[in-house]
Amino acid sequence: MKTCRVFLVLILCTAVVLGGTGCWDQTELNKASMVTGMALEPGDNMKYKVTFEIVNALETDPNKGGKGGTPTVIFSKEGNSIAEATQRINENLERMILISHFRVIIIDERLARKGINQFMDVLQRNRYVREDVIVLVGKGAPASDFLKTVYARGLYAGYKIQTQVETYRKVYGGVPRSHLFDIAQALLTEGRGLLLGAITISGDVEKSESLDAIKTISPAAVVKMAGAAVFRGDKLIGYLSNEHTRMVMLAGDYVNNTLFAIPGPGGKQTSPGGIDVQFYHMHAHMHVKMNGDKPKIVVNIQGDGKITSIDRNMKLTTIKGYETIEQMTSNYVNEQMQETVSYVQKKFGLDVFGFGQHYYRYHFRKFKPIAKEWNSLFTRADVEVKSNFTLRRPDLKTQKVEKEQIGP
Amino acid sequence: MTPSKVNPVDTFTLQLVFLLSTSIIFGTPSVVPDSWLVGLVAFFPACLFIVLYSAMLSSQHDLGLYPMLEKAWGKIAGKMFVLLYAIYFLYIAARNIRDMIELVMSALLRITPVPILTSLFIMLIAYTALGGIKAIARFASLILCIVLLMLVTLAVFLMFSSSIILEQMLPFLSKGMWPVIQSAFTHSLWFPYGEIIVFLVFQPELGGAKGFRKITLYAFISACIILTISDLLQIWSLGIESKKYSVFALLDAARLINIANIITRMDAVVALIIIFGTLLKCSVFLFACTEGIARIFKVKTGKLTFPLALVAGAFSILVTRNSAEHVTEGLKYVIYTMHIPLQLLVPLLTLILLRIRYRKGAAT
Repeated sequence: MKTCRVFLVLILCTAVVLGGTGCWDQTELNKASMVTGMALEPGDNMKYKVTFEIVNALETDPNKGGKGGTPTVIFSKEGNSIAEATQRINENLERMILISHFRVIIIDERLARKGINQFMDVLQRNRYVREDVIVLVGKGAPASDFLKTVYARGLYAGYKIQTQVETYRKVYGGVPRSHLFDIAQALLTEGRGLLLGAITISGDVEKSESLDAIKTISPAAVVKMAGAAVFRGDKLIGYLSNEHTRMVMLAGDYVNNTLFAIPGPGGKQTSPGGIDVQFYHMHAHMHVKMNGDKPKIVVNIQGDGKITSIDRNMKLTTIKGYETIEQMTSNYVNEQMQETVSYVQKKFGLDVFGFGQHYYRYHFRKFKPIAKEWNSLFTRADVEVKSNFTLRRPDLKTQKVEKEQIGP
Repeated sequence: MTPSKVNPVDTFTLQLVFLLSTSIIFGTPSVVPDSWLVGLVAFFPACLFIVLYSAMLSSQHDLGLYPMLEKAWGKIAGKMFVLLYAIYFLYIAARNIRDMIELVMSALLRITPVPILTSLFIMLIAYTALGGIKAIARFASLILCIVLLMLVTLAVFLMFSSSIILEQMLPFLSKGMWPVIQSAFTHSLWFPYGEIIVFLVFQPELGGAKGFRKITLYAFISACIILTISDLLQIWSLGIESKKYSVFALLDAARLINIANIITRMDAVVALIIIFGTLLKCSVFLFACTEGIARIFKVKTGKLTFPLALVAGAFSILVTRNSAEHVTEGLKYVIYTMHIPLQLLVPLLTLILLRIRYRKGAAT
């Protein structure tokens, strides 16, 4: 009886050990391939064409080095849905794909014009897709081309684009924060048009596809930031330039760090004697109220920064010098912001700044009756920009290095 | 049953973990935008449960629920009620196992067969329940530490990845106060607060009416605060609009964590919270059920634990076909057909009957 009992306990233990491993869900690393980027395009024969950039892990080992093959391989598959195309990628590829680490989704312009909502769900629902994966619109070229442009360091095109977008946003702010999660946020709330980052290619893509392209000093083709893609609802209607995008993002308090190049006296952007100021901590908040049937919007911008360059004679040892530059910066930013607002009002007639969203959040009861017509109200809105900049220090020089005149 | 009492602190942690376990993940059902308010509103009527149950206990000198039922309703009807309650507890245990399985299947594993997961899990539950209420209570403080630590970790990580945006909880009360109150009375009041009735079964060991009144009130207050914080955390990170769309709101919030591209996707933390919480909650229910069944059929409690755990496991798989059915059943039918009668009506009638049949001072 006792041996029988011991035997049964042993069997139970083995069963638990075997069951507890959860072997059903195992994925062997050498049977799987990581995906670093994904591009969505309209298909030639079917509804969508999905392109994956798949890492060839052997070639990317920094210690052993590769055998001279390519670090990434591009595979495309057509399907009537994104999920179908993804699942059928193995018609071309031998390994299972791991999509949990891809960082960038590039949507083709042609798809975006028809509306992105019809295929977003699979990305939002899937637990493997990160909420902070960057969704971009490929301007002027088929989306898969962006994954084909490699250059010396950015061996993975997807990784290069992702880092580029994040760094650019961090140092200049000329691209919207277009995480997957932000799309849901923008489409769900009221009074804010969706903005996604836009990228474009300059140069020759066909040359750039070859690995020889990374052996030249000037890359054959380069992926560039192209500002923001503006969506009405979920449909692409146009693009904003990098400068305009920065102003839009600044109004929404998404820009922390940026640089303003204030033109010299003469009124033109190219006139000599310009001043550069760099800001590290920028904050913006808005106030929206209705003035009769016209929205009255006040944007307050604050910044804390330093002087980067002065190409004219101006003393930074005096308080007056700082005050003058602060005033100039203020005027310049106000003017740029006004210009951006009126450009958006005229060109798109769509509130991409999020003024409506602000009104919706803070004055829900007043926003409710005008929710439908907000965008047309926005085009008539009075926008007042108030900026308050503080310049703290002049870096290393007190004024422009210039020979002082001797004598009369 | 030994009359030795459980340490009051252990009782408190036991009740707190019991209240938190599954509701911390599923949160307050997002039928209204300001779901965080629902929990706060539901707290006040929930205190009436404490009044009702402690009145039952004090009228009968701290007798457990089952003897009390028999005493109030007579031998046969009383036994029927005991059986009803035992089945009710088993059913809730099964539902909680299913909740846990739903999360694990959608967040961690997906191909692993559900029966295997369930049977491994119920073995743990049964083993915990075998230890009796004292062992479960001591186990609770450990789990409470884990759950709170994980929740604080989540909050801190979310803060550091700048995902917490307070603005997202606005507009405040966009649909008015009435839906909030309605939701409080139709959902949050019965689950999790009303489920505290299961502790009536063990009251002789947990400190009687006096202890119950005080400890449970503290547990309710703490649970209310923690659940509200958890709800707020979900709203602040997901936004009032998109929280509505997530199956497991806290899990979705955890997915937003990204600290310098190093600490990302803390799904596992959320899964741990629910696994530990459910483990404790289910073992409490299972133990209460075995007590009841053992009382009716006059068997030793220990002999029933494993078979009943198996029944609960099987039930959890068979009870619904898909998650929609599971949620609808939980939010609609269970509340009206089981929670309200068994948490409110039967105890109320029992109390009245007890008061009538055994007047003050009358021999019992």
